[in-house]
Amino acid sequence: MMPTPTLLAGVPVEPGSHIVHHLHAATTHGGFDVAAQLHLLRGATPGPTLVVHAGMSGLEIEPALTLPRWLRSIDPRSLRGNLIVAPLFNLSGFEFERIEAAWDGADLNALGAGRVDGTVSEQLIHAYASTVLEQADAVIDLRTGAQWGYYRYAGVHDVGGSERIESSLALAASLGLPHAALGEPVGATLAGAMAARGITWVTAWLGGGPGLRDHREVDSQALEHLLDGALAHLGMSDGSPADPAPMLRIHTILRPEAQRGLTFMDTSLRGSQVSAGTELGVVRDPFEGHVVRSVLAKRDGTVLHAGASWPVVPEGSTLAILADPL
Amino acid sequence: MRIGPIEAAPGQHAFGYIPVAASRSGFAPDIPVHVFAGTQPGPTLLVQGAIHGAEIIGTVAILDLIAELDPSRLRGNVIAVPVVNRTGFEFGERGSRIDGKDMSRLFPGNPEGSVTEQVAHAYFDQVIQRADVMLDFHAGARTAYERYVLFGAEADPSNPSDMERIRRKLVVAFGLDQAAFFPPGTFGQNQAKAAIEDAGVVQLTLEFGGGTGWYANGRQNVDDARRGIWNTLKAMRMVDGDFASDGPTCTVYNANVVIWKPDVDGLFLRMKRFGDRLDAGDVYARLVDPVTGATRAEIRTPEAGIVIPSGQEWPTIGATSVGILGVIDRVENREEMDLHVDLVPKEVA
Repeated sequence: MMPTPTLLAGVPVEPGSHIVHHLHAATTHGGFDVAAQLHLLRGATPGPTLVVHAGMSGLEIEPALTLPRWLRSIDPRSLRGNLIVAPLFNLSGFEFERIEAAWDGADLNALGAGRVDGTVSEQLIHAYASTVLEQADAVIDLRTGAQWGYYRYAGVHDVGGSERIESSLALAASLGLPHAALGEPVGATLAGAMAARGITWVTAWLGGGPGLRDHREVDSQALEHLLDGALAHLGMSDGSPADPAPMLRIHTILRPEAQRGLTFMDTSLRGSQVSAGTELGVVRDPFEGHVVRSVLAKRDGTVLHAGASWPVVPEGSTLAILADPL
Repeated sequence: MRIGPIEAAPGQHAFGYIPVAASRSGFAPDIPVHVFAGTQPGPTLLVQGAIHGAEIIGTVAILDLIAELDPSRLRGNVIAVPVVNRTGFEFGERGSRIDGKDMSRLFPGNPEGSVTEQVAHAYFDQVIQRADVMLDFHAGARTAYERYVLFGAEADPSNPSDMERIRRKLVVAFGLDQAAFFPPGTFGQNQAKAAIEDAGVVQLTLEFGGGTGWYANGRQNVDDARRGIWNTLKAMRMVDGDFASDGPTCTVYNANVVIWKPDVDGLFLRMKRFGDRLDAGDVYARLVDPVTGATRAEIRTPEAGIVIPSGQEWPTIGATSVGILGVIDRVENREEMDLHVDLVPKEVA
């Protein structure tokens, strides 16, 4: 555990209190503030620091319906350690309804740990990484399927050494989601950069817009359960962690390729074991209706995810994820 | 039957594209059209999807219909257009990115106008005018969920015109348990609908499904939409068979209360479900701060009514209506009605 900080995100927070902090990082040429809004909760007794953020994509906004409510249920006087929560990190993406930050078109998930002298988004990520994430004993990065997919698993990046990976997997397995999976794509992600620095990090995929009508309360409760499980796992509360989820290793992520059209994935396959060649979905010609391509499992595996839920998928969307037992 | 360059002999199915205007870069959103020519005389049904490019539930239902429809067993003709607005479909948008216009509002179009006005003219001239009945599939796109048959308000409900009498039957025949009409002028003047009716085309709009319901309800909505097309073919005596429906009744709402998003913005959280009864002043939804969760505004209904199955689900909304309430105008009983309609066909197969 890191030493209990006297400052949270660079500002003093009294033990047993909860404040909302405006983390200013940069100013655009038009004078707009580039910042993140953070809840800072300092427990009455020392303990680990957990950081939770959602909405790095400006379209993945559903957790913001739940996180403020969950935060109201947390009494910092009974908390051990510190809790830092950004319910909707990418405020400009949210404002203008886009994945990227509106100011510079940057994907906040793809800037590594940012740069102090970079674009305004790189400055934002740098400020966040250096003043918040580096304080963290554990980070939960909440992701959703936005308007296109519906997810339920906790992912871990396979970088940063065995001790970090094991602590991340243990946290992932405690969140009450159906699976914990090693092998989240690393690339130039913020998660990858912070994981490489040894920080325990779980990217928790939960819900998505297509479930809002039918599963809003279920997903909201699952998110609260997830967060309660994290606090319990880290010893920050007296609650009990969820029963450990089975652990998998991701081996295949299927995205749109070859022919495009209306894409229909078999969402009922999620959680099932399939063999190589199993049809996971089809792509249909949008004007004539015939199947132009089958989306096939390239090897045997457990279906960790079978979206997308909406038939017109953006380029680069995840259609399906397959994994093996870890 | 010949539609532009697409010709189907009796008993045949033909497919092709209607050429339309090109944009400044030469991008031409030619319209894909299927023509099914029956072997016996009869009326012409036009089924179209995605005139709003992101509203694609009807598109999928039409594609399924195309795979099932046997023109050798058909009386009359079917024109099936799965995607009218190809640019909107491409970009997942309601209108056309080429000129920002909504084709559904532009009929009869203008051959000298903007690209979308020219597309509307070509489509109206070559397709819509050829139909006796038109099923126009809309939906909630990725952000809302809908499920009702929408039709135009009648000028004098106590003395409906012949076209209105036919439409009343087709609304019920389609098979949903709910239908609605808006009082004239609710969403401004719509000259396009008048142009279609003036061309002698009985028009029904299907508000069907939407993204927030796709995960759980997508396939069912597609199947019910396809069922509705088949019911319409039966009602028009173009094919034989029994009607299938949600149930024996169809509740028709006068959708006289539209709830609009206020100037205040935040995350939209609908508090009421379809079928809920609200009194004037009741809270329909809230707009909450995305960081603190504090309520920024309560969206209240200005008048009493029942929530009809139409409304925003996704938490971010544009300057748009977020809910529709209505009062029950009548309840139609399918079991007490002859749902068949007799039309004087414009076309002979």
